[in-house]
Amino acid sequence: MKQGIKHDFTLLALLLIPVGVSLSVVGYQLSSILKLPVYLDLIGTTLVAMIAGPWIGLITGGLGNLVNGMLNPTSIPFGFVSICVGLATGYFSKWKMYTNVVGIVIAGALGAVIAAMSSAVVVVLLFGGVTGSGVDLITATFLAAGQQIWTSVISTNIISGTVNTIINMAIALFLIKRIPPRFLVKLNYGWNYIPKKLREVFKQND
Amino acid sequence: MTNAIQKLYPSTKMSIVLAVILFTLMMPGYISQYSVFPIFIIIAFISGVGTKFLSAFIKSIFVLVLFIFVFQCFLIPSDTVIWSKGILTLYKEGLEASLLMTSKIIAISSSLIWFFLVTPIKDMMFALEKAGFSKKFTFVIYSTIQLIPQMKKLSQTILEAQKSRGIETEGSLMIRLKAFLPMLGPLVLSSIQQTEEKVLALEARAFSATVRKSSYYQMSKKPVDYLVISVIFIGFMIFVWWRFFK
Repeated sequence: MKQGIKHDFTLLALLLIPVGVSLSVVGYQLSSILKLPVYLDLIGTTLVAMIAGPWIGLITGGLGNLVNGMLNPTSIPFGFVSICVGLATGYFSKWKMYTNVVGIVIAGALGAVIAAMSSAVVVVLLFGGVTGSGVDLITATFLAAGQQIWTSVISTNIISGTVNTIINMAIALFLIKRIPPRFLVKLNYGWNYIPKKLREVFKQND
Repeated sequence: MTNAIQKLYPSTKMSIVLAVILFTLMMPGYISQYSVFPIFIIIAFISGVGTKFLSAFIKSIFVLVLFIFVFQCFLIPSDTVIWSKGILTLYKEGLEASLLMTSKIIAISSSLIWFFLVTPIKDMMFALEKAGFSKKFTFVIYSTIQLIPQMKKLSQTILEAQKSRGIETEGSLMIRLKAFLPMLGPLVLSSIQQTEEKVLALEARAFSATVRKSSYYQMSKKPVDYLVISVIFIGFMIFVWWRFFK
């Protein structure tokens, strides 16, 4: 299938955006109901970016934060983080990194670094190193130990965010495994997630 | 929709927000930025959303602002010390930096909270469409806002259903983590199935047709909208002139 910014915005892909945003919201809600130590608020963005590509992923991430921002405006600037994660995940998917174990590990690591860096940019430049949540204690410890603000925030993000990003990606991959192939085949980036045997059947029918 | 302020056209309200944001960023110091907040409390009460405004503000901004003060004032060392006791030291530069930062955050977010409280989504989408944004764009935003509460409700149902089937949601971390997939799995599958059906339903109603579409819902700019916009525009021009050319 043709990929790229001109071809990615099919109606089916557009309708996945609301699904992705609400999945992220529900993921966040579920992780607090189940009292998990990680916040799975990027599941929707990563899932949609994996099967519908970087541009749809970018919009899913940005829109999610915009909608949250209607009640809590401080979440709007953090849209930058979601946008970066969505875009990166989409490109990793385009480069077929999620089809093998090595690729998944590299994608997880890169994704974690991208999330940590982009969130540090927002946190330091706009909020003076503060997110308003529990992880600020880690940043405070680094600062009290005499570290610079940038190194403190980035280290905090890498400590608290790496597991988070990787679990988000892993759960998104698990969920994609359950999506029926007849749906995946309609999406521009879904082909790689269809089991090999079925791919051949699809090719023969084409 | 009984209130005169709520009845304003969305772009009129948006221009107020834009003017506030530009004013906040261009004005030096922090006193005028802080004064934006009480003004918006008054505007919010006049618009009939006062209590909602205050509760949204306290929930989202208050803690953040508090944390910024603690961080900047006590934890980032600089040259001038104002006050010191035990391990706590208050730095002058940090205090100034946090005043500048929080004043901007408070001013901009209070204008945004107010905007989203007094502008119904329906109006916003109508105005966006009229301003030339594509129907697809507004549809995606609108359906996102509608889908979130539906999905929350659905996830509650799934949670109950899976619990009754014996999936444990309490216990050690591993047990709770394992419960996550059976919760989200059905949610993803059912929503994806719905997506396919929605595509068919939309296409059956000529969603992708490239013709001009009409709308049941109608809004128009009234004289008062033009008045407000021109007052803001002139006021802002005077401010720019005073700030940069005087």
